[in-house]
Formats: sequence, C-alpha cells, structure tokens
Amino acid sequence: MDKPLIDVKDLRIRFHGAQRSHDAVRGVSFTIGREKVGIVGESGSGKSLTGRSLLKLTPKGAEISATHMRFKDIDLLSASEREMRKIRGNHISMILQDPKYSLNPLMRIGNQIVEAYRLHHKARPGEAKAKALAMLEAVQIRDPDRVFKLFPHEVSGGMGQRIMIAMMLIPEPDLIIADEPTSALDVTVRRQVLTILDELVTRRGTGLMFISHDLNLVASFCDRVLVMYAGRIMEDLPASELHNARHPYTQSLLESLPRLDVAVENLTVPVRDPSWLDGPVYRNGELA
Amino acid sequence: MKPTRALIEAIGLSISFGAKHARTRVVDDVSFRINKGEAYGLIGESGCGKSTILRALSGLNSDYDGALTLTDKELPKTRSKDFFRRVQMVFQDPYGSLHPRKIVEKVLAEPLAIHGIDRASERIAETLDAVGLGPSFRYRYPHELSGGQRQRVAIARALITEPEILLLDEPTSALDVSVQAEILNLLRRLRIERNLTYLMVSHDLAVIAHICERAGMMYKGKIIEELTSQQIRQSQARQDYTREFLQATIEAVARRDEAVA
Repeated sequence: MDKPLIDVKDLRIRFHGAQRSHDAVRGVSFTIGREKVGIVGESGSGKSLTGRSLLKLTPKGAEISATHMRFKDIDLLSASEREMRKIRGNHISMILQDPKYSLNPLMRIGNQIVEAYRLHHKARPGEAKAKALAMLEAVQIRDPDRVFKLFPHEVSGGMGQRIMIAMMLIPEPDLIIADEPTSALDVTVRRQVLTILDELVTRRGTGLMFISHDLNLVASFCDRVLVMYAGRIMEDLPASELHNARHPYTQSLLESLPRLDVAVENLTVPVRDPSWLDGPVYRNGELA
Repeated sequence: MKPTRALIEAIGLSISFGAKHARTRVVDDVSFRINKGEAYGLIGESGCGKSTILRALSGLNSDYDGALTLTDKELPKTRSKDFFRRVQMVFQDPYGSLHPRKIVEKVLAEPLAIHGIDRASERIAETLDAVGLGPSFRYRYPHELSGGQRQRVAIARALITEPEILLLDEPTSALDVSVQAEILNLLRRLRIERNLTYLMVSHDLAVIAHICERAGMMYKGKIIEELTSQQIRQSQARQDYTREFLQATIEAVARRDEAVA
C-alpha cells in the first residue's frame, strides 16, 4: 500500500475551562489513504472535532496535541497559518452539513465556484467559468447555465449540497472531509448526493473522510469504519466486516436501528459502560 | 382488522398557500381515517405536505378546505379548549420546542394551569416518571439536558393533559441514531399503557414500520397509496413512486442485512 495521505498518532484535543479542563478527543490514531473512511459516533464523541483538527479549524479555546499529525509530508502540527491556508481547499477540503449556511447568500452560485477555482489555480475568468460549468454538470445539475446565475436561496437543499460538492472538488483536493453531508437531506435525495460523491471520489482517487452518526449509511458507503465513543476510537474495521464487530458499543449501535426486514417488539438501547472510557479497543477484529 | 369507528377522519382535505395568483396547493384532496388505538404514519420526502396535514389537524393552521372529524364530529375551524386537551403534538426539534428560560416543572405546569387540572405537583412527578426521567430532572433548564432527555420532556408535556391522540412530527429525526431507539421504545410503551392513538410523520420508513400499523405514502400533496407495516417490510407497493422510495431506503440498509445475518 502506498503512503497514507493522513497519518495521525495520539491526537488529543483539550478545552480549558475556568475550573477544570475537558478532553474532547483522547488519544486518537488513524491513517487515511486514497479510500473512503467513515467516522461514526454519537454527538459529543469528538468525531467532528477530529475532522476539523486536520484543517486546524477547531474553536479558539481548543488545544491540539499529538505525537504526530501529518498530511503527506507536511507536519500539520507545526504548520503556520499561512501554510494551512495553502492546504485548505487546495489539498484538503471540507463539505459541511447544511448548504443553507455554508454558501454565501449574497453571491451567485457560479461566481462562488469560480472563486474556489481561481483561488487555487491560475486561470483566466473565461477558462474558470467553463471549468465551473463542467463541474456543475459533473454533479448532475441539469441546465448548468441557469443554475450558474442563481443565488443560494433559489435552489433546493439537495441541489445546494451538490453545489457544495462541486465547489469542494473543483480545486482537485487530495482529501475531502465530509461532515454529515447528508443529514439535512431527504432519503431520496440523500442517495443521489451520495452516488455523485462516490463516483467523483472514486474516479479521481481522492481520499474521503466521512463523518456521520448513521452507522447504517456509513456501512454501505465507506470502505473502512472508525467507531468513536467519548473521544476515543473504539473500533477500526473494514465496512464489510461490520457484522464481526467485537466492541460491545459497535454491536449495540448496530442493534439499536429499527429494521425493515424483521419486526421487533423493543429496540435495543445502546448501553454505555463507563469502563469503555479506558477499556480495550479493537482493530480489524483484533485487540489493539 | 375489526371494523371500528374512526377516531380521526380527514375528508377531502386541501391546503393552499400563497396570494391569489401565486397560490399553490400543498395538500390536495387527502382523505384518511384512523381508528382508536391505532398508529398511522405519513411518509414522504420533504415538501410533500405531510407536516402541513399535521399542522392543520392540530389547529395551528385553520386555512384549509375539506373536513377533519374527531369521533364523528366535524372540528370547527377554531378549535375548542377541550380539543387541545385531547390532542397533543410532539415537534421535531427538541432544541427549539422547549422554552429556554423555563425549568422542566414550569413547562409541565403550564398545560395543567391552562386546562384547570388538579393535583399538579403529583401529576408532574408521575408524568416525568412515565417518560423515564427521575425526579431530579424537575428543576432543570433545557440547556442542562441532552437531546434525548429534551424530547422526553416534550413528550411528557404532551402527555400531562392525558390526551387520547398524539401527533408526532418526526420525533426522532433531530436525534442521534443511538438515542432514537430509546425514544421509539418509549413511544411504543406509552401507546400500549395509555391506549393512545398516534399520527406520526416521518421520512424514515424503518421508523414508521416500527411504530405504525398503517401508513399513507404521500407524493406532491396526495396520499398515493396506503400500506400496512407488513407491506412496507415486504416492499409490496403498487405505485412506482412508492417502490422507488422503498428501494432508496432498502439499498441503504442492504449491507447491514447481510452484516447482521
């Protein structure tokens, strides 16, 4: 296997409070190559924070420490703000949850995509526009010429998210971090957006870090799944091996979903065991 | 199913929004009936009008055509106070539906005061207990509660007037998957214990199939067909759109099925 894009070892994120500090992420290690990696966990498990720390977009009060945190050969820990600006968008880009809040409401959609492209590539306006139109077509927007001139409030949620994907893919990044990209969308639209994302990511050989609380979705979409609980990775395993999950938390998450094929009287409620906080973790079905 | 009298019935319900020339019909000639003790679901993608029906039924929107009946009596456009005691609603977002500056006790005491129900203090304690929150939650503010706990408070607030009917507007879609199971179990248990009738709106088929016996599939403001939970599970749909919708959900769970098997 070639060198991973992201190599993180023993990542810790701490928030300092007035009386006591709180560790939101406690010793997380993982690598991401040119593959689709899903990070699953409930709210507060530190999954979004982990994703954001790769771009150093964590809130001001957060203190990041790690043994190492590398993107290709760049050390992200010691990178200056100036170097980070070169990485953001250009090498690592991020798709956020809700297109309603992440697009500029005062700028036409086309111009936002052109801006994303020209920020990272030397291109004449005409050339960039052609590129943006092609990109809109790639995310299966019919009539890209019309959509190019629209404002964000004039498009639906599913279309907005496809525009976000177009904007994030146009600088041709090596890695995309998608933070709950479909949780604001409908079931029917969700599949469409995921299919597009999957196709583009696979074709370009981009790495994808897919953050979600929906184990179900991640299992069907990603190659590898990391299950996070209380700031630690409880289990790291290939998505196809999910049925062999060893950690009780992963098992209970799987069992807690209502199922279409079998009717059950009562759903299993995931139990949370305080001993997991420092208990054993599993990698590929083995104790790590 | 034995022929019982319908508790709630909608007959030719149509709802339109917008000014005269730009009026769009959001709900178009919808009819359904729900028997006492039954749980009925409305499924569909966003914008198909399922929440609009709920808002019309609950009295939040009186601008509709057609008739809504409760125990064979047509409901007046302006609902009576008694109606609001018998029919209660649980909203989608527990972060938005609780007053941020009122403690749980006050949230629960208000409906009791409005309807002049006695034994307020005991009732609050009983209802909190019924939704699985201990007495320690009584004096907390919403910001001190997790999403799942807030939704329990919202359910408690709906239950405290001892209603017959609960209207549920996507009660778990703002919650984590791991918390969803708790709330769904709670809703199932409460329905049996208190002989409640549910009208539930969701876009999650698995949730509807778990809670409801029957469901109406909505598309562009119409109920295009009615399915039993058994038919949903076995993907027995007559309409193409329903089949597509079922497919979209089933494909997403395909991998899990082989995983759990």
